[in-house]
Amino acid sequence: MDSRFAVNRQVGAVVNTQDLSENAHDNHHIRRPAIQMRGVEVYYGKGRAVHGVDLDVNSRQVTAFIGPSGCGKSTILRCMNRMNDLIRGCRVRGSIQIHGADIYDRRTDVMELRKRTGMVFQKPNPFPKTIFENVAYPLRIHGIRGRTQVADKVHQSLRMAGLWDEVKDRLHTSALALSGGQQQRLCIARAIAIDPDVLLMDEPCSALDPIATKTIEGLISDLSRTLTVVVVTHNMHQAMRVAHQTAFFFMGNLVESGPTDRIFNNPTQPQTLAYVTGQFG
Amino acid sequence: MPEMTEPFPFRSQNLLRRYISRAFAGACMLATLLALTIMFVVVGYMILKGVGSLNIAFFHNLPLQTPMGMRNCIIGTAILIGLAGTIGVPVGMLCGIYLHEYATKGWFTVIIRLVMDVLAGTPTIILGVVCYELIVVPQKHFSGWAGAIALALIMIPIVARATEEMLRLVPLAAREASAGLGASPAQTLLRVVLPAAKSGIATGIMLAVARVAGETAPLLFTALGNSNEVYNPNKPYPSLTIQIYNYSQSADPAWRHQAWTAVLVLVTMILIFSAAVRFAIRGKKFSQI
Repeated sequence: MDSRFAVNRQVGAVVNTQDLSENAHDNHHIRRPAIQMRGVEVYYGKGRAVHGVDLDVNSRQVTAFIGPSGCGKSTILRCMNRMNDLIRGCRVRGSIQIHGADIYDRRTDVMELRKRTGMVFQKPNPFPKTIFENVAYPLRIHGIRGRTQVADKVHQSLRMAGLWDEVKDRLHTSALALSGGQQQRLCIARAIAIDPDVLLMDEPCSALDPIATKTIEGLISDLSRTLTVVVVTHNMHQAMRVAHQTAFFFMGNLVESGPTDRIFNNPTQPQTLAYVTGQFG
Repeated sequence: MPEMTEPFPFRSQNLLRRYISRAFAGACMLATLLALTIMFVVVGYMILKGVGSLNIAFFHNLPLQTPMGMRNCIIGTAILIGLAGTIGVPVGMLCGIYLHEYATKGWFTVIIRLVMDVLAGTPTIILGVVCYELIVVPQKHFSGWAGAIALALIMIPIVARATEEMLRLVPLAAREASAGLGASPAQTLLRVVLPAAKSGIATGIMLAVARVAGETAPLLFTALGNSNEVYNPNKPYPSLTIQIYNYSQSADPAWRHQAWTAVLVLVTMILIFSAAVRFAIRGKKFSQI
């Protein structure tokens, strides 16, 4: 874990010095947000999917996006690493800053952005390669070629994803033979192998059974000590279990955001209250 | 006490429906049987006629030697297909990749696809005549290159459409997985998408090769054929199909037997090639997603 901190300090130091002078375990201070969104609107063709979202995502905490299906929470998440660029007819207005840099700026290199902003998808999507090659893939595409360097990083990532003990004897067998939960942890290992600052998770447990879900949730908490995690979920209990901060979306609007505890126990908006008490959704 | 007078409740209410269903299944079976029979007749006849002249000399000797052989034609056909594939497969694949990955949807891509389909359906003799006019006439001699290019023109649309269709089948999840890790579009294409589509693309290439392996008409105008051992593509080029065409019209029964043997050898070559390709690309697909 120590080397991992060192890497993060280096990466973060360029953009956010004051955060990193603090203890990485200490999540109770209010610090400069990792992600700042101002007036974000997303259009698919002519329809508007997200209306003017202003939101700060705290550095090295877990932020959960909750809300009913179609509320725009995944859309917002996919703006943060510009995955929406892959969708024809999708336009984003407003500003999204990660560590103070506007990611929709003309100078942004999308590949570099996505390297620093890992993503885990709803369905586990390992490549039809070996377990080892799955985790080595991001390293190789970003030009890390040294044999030992790649191997060390793969092992380290698998350990961090809590998968090492289960796969260490079959690293060179197909990743597709793993169970769903293992595949999802493999995808997490793959995403963190290139030391991102931010990890975006799009309903990472919705295709998994309760035991695998529990494992992944534990992993999310662990990872948030070194990473900024944003997790989209439609499972409110999951948000309560893992998230420091929660944002509630409804019909493309950010209704309310704040500490998870307050959102669930003392929401200010009637819509939030109705949702968290299970009156709709 | 059971009511014996009650009719059985599940008796068929619509016998016609059942008969139509059976008749349909029967028709399907009959058609399959017919196709199989035709294939067996063709293959059987080919073996029957061809196996008589099949001996070592056929593979070892040249057409004008005694005993007669077709070594030059066998090698010539293989090289011709190789040259055609070297030109046609990359061009076709890149074209298919462009169509699916890079071209924006619009009138331009619609026209390209239309042209591809028309080209794929063009009688190959026309492509032969075009190559004759554009290559053979200016050069003032027939050549292997002209033949290879004519065959390549036949391969390009087949390979391009096969590539495009196979890329379409690669799930978005595979692309997203790669793009989400910061891969460039080219990296995603070369390392994830193409490997996932490779078995389908290879099948398309195989079809294209099998198709041109049997082409005769375009080669008559371009490669012309050669009874000597000439493998320089700047010269008129030997080919099994041209040899089959020439010999099958001969008055000499020995030559006609040679033609049958050549047919048998050609079909076997294509069969071995197809089996080899299938074996080489067996295996993994991008699963479940």
